[in-house]
Amino acid sequence: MAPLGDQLVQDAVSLAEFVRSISGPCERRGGTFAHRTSSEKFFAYIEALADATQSYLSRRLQSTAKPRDLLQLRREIASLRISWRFLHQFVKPAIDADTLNLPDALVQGLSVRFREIPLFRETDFIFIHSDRFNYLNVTLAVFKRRADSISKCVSGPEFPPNLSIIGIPYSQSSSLFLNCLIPHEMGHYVFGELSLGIKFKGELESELLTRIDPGNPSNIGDIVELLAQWIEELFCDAFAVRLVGFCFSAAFAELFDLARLLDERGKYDTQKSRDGAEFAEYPPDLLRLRQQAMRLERDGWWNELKAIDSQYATSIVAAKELEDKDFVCPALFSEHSMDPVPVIQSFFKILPRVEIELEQATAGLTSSSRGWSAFSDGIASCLEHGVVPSSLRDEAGEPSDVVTLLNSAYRFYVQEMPKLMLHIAKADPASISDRMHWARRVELWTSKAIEDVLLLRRKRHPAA
Amino acid sequence: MLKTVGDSAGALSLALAARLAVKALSNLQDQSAPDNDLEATLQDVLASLDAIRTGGPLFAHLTPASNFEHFGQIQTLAEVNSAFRDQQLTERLRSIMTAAPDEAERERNIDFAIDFFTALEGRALQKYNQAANLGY
Repeated sequence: MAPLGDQLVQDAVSLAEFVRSISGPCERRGGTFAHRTSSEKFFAYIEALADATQSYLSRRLQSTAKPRDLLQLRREIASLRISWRFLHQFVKPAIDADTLNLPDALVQGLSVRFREIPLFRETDFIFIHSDRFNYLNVTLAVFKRRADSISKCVSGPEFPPNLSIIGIPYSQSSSLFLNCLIPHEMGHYVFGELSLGIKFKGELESELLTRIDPGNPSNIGDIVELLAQWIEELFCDAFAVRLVGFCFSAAFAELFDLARLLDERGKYDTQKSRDGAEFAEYPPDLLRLRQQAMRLERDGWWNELKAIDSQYATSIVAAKELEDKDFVCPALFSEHSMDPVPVIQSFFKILPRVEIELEQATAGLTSSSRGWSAFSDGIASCLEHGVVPSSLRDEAGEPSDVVTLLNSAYRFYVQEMPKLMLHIAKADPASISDRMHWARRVELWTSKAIEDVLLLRRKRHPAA
Repeated sequence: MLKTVGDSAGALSLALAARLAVKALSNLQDQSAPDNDLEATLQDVLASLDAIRTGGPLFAHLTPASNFEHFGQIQTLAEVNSAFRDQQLTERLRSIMTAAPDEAERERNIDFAIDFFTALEGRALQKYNQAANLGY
């Protein structure tokens, strides 16, 4: 067998080649495709980290001679390879998400709205494509820490601060309404940045220990983990509603077909409407919808929502009538051999803290319903007549805003499409293909209006 | 939908933290005291080991910088702890942070700590590979 030092040279060459195969597409990108500035920062980071990894390997090979140190270097190479396998999963999805393959106007509009939160004025988002039908957030607290650990190993660059990664299903790269789910992912960034996970886990554990004698706290470790995940999801839902209003909840109800659980009166039956085991990775859908409904009411959306004639709005309104006792989670007993009652009691004791944390995190953010009364009917009228709703102004001469456009257009999409189609020769509101065609038009007009409104607002308020 | 990439996250983060600890411990053999990062890692590990051994709360003592935010990470530590049972693990890790009168003893404890963090890294990587479906 070759001497250990020679073997290590081969190990290092193999890793360096592996790293280049991952960073290479970043170096070769360009041509006709443009990426958002945030993505360009990500690519530059990957390239710099690849350079640093190779330089580090060269230095270490020159300075390491003792067998014990060489063996440790070999372990380090193995860890670095797995770390680069982790980074591998983000590179191509980020390259694929160029500005022509993203809902760029929406993404810009949501980013601008997000940065209205005083705590997060500097934050930007890298968008990547996901091949699963998942909207996902690559929790920055996790990603940055991991990326920075890799960098620290090889004395490389730090991952750019205030940069987060959000994945959207590649199939939704041009849709508008379903992508109103994106703000939930922004909520994951907030939750991670404020270290709320650790905070809530401590509180949940303490609450559970007052109700359960586990013999050993590690017996409830996985319950704490799961309930903390529920809390995070509910925080992110509430955050999304706070950021963009009811269009998030409508997209949520639409994607999960939550109207399927309504009875003939348009209500949720507490027995029949329960779906699934109710103690899974995510909180029950109806609990999520109820919490969103409560937030919508706080943010001044309730009367508007109740007036919308759509099964999505009905779903949200019906969910608000559900009570804590309607969520019993029998799977806790069947799958975890735990009495559900004290677990659920502990959870509901902590749940109100979500709203407190949300208020603190979003302090200074204007209400999402602020522009509704001034613009919603005008926007609907524009859409009904096939006009891009960019030129509307309020009494102070201000144009509309992204949130009002999204919510008004969503209401139009679920309630008023037939009005538009009555103006179109041979368009049949009952025809699926005709309806799809014109719904797509509404999305395009709204996207154009978002672009225009962002430009107009920037012109009027250059310092903002 | 709405999934976060955090599930297997804990394992790789823990492995990398353990790797950085090994590197710092290797350098420590030429230094008198651990640097701030190593000291924070040691204290983090010791606090979670204490919780595991005494049956105390697992999450109450954590700080935002902790490597044991996820229960899976705590379980990994508990498994490695079992493998080092009866070797005065906590005492020997703690001794690294204090000035030892006996230099040879200190060297042995540093070597021991390197073995411990190497085992922690290995176990965490194994779990990460399983969770992330990084098969062969």
